[in-house]
Amino acid sequence: MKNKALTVPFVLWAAIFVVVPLLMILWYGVTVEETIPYTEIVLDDGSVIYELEDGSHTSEKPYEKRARVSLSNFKRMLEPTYLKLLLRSLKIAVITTLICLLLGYPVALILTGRDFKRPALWLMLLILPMWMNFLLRTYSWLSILENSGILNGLIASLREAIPALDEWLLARGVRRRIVFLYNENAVILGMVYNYLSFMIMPIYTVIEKTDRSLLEAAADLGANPVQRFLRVTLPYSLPGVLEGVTMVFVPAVTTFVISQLMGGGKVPLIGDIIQNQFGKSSDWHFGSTLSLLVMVVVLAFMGALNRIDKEEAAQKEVRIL
Amino acid sequence: MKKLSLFALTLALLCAALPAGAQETISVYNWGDYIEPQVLELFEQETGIEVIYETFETNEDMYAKIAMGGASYDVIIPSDYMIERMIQEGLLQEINWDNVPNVKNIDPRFMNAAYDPQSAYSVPYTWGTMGILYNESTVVETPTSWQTLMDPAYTMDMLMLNSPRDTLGIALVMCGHDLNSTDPADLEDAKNLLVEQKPMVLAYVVDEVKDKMIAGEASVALVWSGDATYCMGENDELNYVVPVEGSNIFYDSICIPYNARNVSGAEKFIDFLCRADIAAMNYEYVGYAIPNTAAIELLGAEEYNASPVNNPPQEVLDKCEVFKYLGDDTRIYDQIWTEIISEF
Repeated sequence: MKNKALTVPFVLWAAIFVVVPLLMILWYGVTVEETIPYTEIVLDDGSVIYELEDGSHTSEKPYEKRARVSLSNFKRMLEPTYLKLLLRSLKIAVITTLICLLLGYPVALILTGRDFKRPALWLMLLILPMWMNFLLRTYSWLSILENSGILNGLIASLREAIPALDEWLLARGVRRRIVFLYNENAVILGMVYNYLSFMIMPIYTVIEKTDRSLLEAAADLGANPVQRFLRVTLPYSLPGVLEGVTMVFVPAVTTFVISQLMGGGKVPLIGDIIQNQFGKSSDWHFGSTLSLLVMVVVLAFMGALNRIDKEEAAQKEVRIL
Repeated sequence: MKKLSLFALTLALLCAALPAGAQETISVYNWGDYIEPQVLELFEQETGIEVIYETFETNEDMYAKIAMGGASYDVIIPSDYMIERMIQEGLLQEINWDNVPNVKNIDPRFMNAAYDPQSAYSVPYTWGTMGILYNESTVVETPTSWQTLMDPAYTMDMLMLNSPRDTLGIALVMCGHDLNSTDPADLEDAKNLLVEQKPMVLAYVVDEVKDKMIAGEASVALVWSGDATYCMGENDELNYVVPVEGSNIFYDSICIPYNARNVSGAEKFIDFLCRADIAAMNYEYVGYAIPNTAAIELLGAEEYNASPVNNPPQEVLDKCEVFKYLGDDTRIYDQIWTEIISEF
């Protein structure tokens, strides 16, 4: 009984800040806003009155809006324009996650290596930039990669210093100012940079915790380093990998700021379109419908990961037995 | 339970009544960074009315707050199309001009605009246009027409606004249609034009346009005149033009909401803002063009009018139009805009 009382604040919190907003999104998602329908009637003296649905009349033009349950936003959501955007968001998120994994796993492995001195310091250096606001970090990439940015400045001075290089590049059609930003690759770069540490941390933690005697036992039994990695380290680190994948994939599929800044509005993702609905276009209903779509995709993805995790855990038990 | 709510009600009433009893106040709701802070101090000193000052970021935020009825303000400063909507919905009250004598300072050119045809509900505070900001040192020729934004010479060298209404509005003008058209055929023309333009566009931006133009990232950009003033102050090579075909003109105007508590205080404040010296002070801080003739004289008309932002030619200004409130049709613009930017 006492324990139950302790959970009350949490339950309240979750109800107010999780359940209620979710229900609101659901409600907005399945409704549309419309002006109350009316018919205009021009009277004999030329004045105009308006007849409302219930048969009543008014001289003021009706403006009041009301919400009506309708699935029309779902129909709109399934138009090719929006599906194409969703697919692109998924594609970019998958690529980002893969790159983060390919970069992050070796980093985590090196950091946990026995010969590696002062892993805590290096880990700190990896995490430190993440304490800064991610907008600031993304803006710094803009200053580096812009047409008028640092990198183009360096290239320009290099080309000025070595005319032969300049001619060589010009002959190959490389423009004096190279446009690095405002394309899909720039968006992926921005995401990898921002999310990489979310991949490294969980993998590092799991490998770090793995019992080293398992590796020693494997070595005693004649396993070479490759075998030890494939048979011991890799399976044991899988939960960390799955967590890292979730932590990168979910924000990557929903982001809108990185695509706006790095993509210059030319690589809109589903998150950008949702943001437009709540901002400029102020159509909260359609925005909510799109949010529901993204939520379903993310849930499906996490469900799939969960299954892999469970199957793997079961296999691991078998292996130990 | 009933007792408790009664207690809460009494407490709330007391809280509301106390400061009012002690000192007269007005609450003002304005855009962020849109008034010289000293103006508020001066008003308090001269009238003894305390100003409770709050800011908003978009017309829509402000609208939501007023329409929900949760907050009561005495003075608000929305933009044209929002004023039109609020008048339609009965959210504004008529201003008694007898109590605002300084309205005589306002240039008649800017009164009776389409959003408030009788000038019954609002008095313009600032105005601006949309136009082309260009870098004199990198443009092929000085832009005068919107066709500049379709010129292949600026391929990957132009910035457009990431804003459905503004960019589509200009595309409509370029096609020779009405800025506020909701005719599907007109919008289809505008869409095709922007799709054709897309490969030439370096980026679709909003606030970033300022940093990028100042840094020389692109040669031409579609901008609001307020941003142009800022950029020209930071980079001498930048200049601004309102193209000859006409453009959008926008106003931010001072209004009194329907549920204002201190109408006479609000009128005093509006009158104060229309006073020549105060409007001039505000201009120097905010940087937007002002409709206040007396203030412009005070600032030195020659210097003020030298800026292409403050003084587009009258024949161009005659072709400029305000955005109208589109109601449910806003959705069509959003749909078309999404189709344009997701073209890949």
